Amino acid sequence: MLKGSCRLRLTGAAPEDCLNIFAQEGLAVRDVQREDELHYLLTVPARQEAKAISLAQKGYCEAEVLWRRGPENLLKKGLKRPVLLLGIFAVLALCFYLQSFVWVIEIDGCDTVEDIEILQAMQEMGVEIGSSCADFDSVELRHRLLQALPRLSWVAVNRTGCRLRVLTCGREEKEAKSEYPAAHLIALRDGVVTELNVSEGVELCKVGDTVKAGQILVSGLEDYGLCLKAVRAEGEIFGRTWYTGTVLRPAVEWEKVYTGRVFTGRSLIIGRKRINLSENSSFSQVFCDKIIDTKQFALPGYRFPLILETVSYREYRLQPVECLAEEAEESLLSAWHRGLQFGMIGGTIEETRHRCEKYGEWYILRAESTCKELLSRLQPIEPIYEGEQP
Amino acid sequence: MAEALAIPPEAVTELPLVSVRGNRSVCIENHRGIVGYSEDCVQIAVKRGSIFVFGQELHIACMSRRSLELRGRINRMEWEG
Repeated sequence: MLKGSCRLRLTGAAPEDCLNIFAQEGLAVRDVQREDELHYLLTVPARQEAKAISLAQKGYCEAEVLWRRGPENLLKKGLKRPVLLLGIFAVLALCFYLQSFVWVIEIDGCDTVEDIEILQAMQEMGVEIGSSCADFDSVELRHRLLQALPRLSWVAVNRTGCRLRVLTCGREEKEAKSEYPAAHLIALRDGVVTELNVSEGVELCKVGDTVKAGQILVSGLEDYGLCLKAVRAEGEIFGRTWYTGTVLRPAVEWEKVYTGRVFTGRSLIIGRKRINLSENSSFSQVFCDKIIDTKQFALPGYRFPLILETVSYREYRLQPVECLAEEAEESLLSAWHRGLQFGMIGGTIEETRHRCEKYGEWYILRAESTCKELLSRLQPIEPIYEGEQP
Repeated sequence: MAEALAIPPEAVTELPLVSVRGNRSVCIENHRGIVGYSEDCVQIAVKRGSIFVFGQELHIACMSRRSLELRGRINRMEWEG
C-alpha cells in the first residue's frame, strides 16, 4: 500500500500473452479480471507502471491507466489543494503539540488514600490537567508524592502520551499496640516532682518529692492482697530539673568574600561519555563555589541521552572576622537552649543563669538552667517465674 | 538424486506444485504461463502439459514468474499431459 499501485486495462487480441510476458520479465501482477476476450484489468506496482506499458506493447496490447493509488499520488493530489494539505499538517502539528500536555490523570491502587488527596498533592506540585509534561519528571514526582503522603508506601507514575497513570499502594496501618504489656514509670533524671497525673498503676511518689534517675514513680504491680497483677503504668509526671554546662565558640571566624571572578566550563555528556567543550579548565578550585547546571535535550515524551552541563566556579577568599562579645553570648546561649530542648522529651526552660567570658581565642559560656519537663518513662517489668527472686 | 538428498522434486525438476485451499483458491508453482483465460476455465501451461481449472468467477489474484494464484469458486481440476 505504501509503495502505491496502478490499475491498467489491457486491450489486445491476446491479453493473456501479455500476462505471460509480464511474468517472464519478473513483473508481478495481481487482481487480474477479464472484462471480455479483448480486455483485461490488472494491478501493478506504481513504480513499474512504465515497464508494464512498454511490455504490453511488446505483447501487441495497449495499456491504459485507470487509476493510481499511493502516497506519491496522494501528495500530488494534495499539492493541488494546498489549503486542505495545510489544514492536515496543522491538525497533525496540533496533535503532536497537545500530546505534550497532561489531559487525563488516572489514579489506581489503594483505598487508604483518597484519589482527591493524591490529586491535590499533585496540584501543589504543579501537576494537573493541562500541565506540560516537560515541567515534571515522573521519578521526581513519585518521590515527592511519597514524601507528601506518608500513608502511601509505593507510587508509580507512568505517562503514556497525554495520559498520566498514578499507581499507588497504601501503607497498612497497624493498631498501636503497647510495646510493654506490663511496665513501671520510672524517673528519667534527678528532679523534684511538680505535677502528677496517673491513670494506671500505683503511685509511689507525690508532688514535692525529690526523685533520682531510675527511681520507680508509678508501679506497674498492683497488689490485690492474694495476688499481684502486672499492669502497664500510665500517666504523666512533670518535675523541676536543673542543668549545668559549658558551650564555646571561636572568637575569630572566617567569612567568604567573593572576588567576582567566575570560571565557566561546559561539557557535553553523550550517554556515558563526557566531552569537555571548555579549553582552559586547569585552575585552582580550592576556594571556589561550584554550581552545576544541566540541560537535557528532549522532545515531548522522549529524552535524548545528550546533556549539556555547565559548571560555574565562583571564586572567593577567606577573611577573618572578629566576633563581637554580645553576638557571641547570644549565639552561645541560643545553642545552649537548643541543646537543652533537644535533650528533653517534653518541657520548657524556666530560667537560665549564665556567664560568658573570652579566654584567648574562644568565647566560653557557662550556664545553669531550671526546667520543667516530663520526668517519667516506661520501664518494662521482667516476668518473674516461680522460685525466682525478683 | 533429489530424493536421496531429501530435496523437494519440484525444486529441482520444475515440476508444478499445486496447492488448493478449499474450493476458493488454488496456487500453482512452477507454471509456464496462461494459455487460456475465461471466468469458467483457466488453462495454465506447466512442464509436460497443462492444468485446467474449472469453476465460476475465476480470476487471477496474483501472478509472478514462479507462482500463480487463482481465486473464485473452483469446481474441478484436470491434467492434460
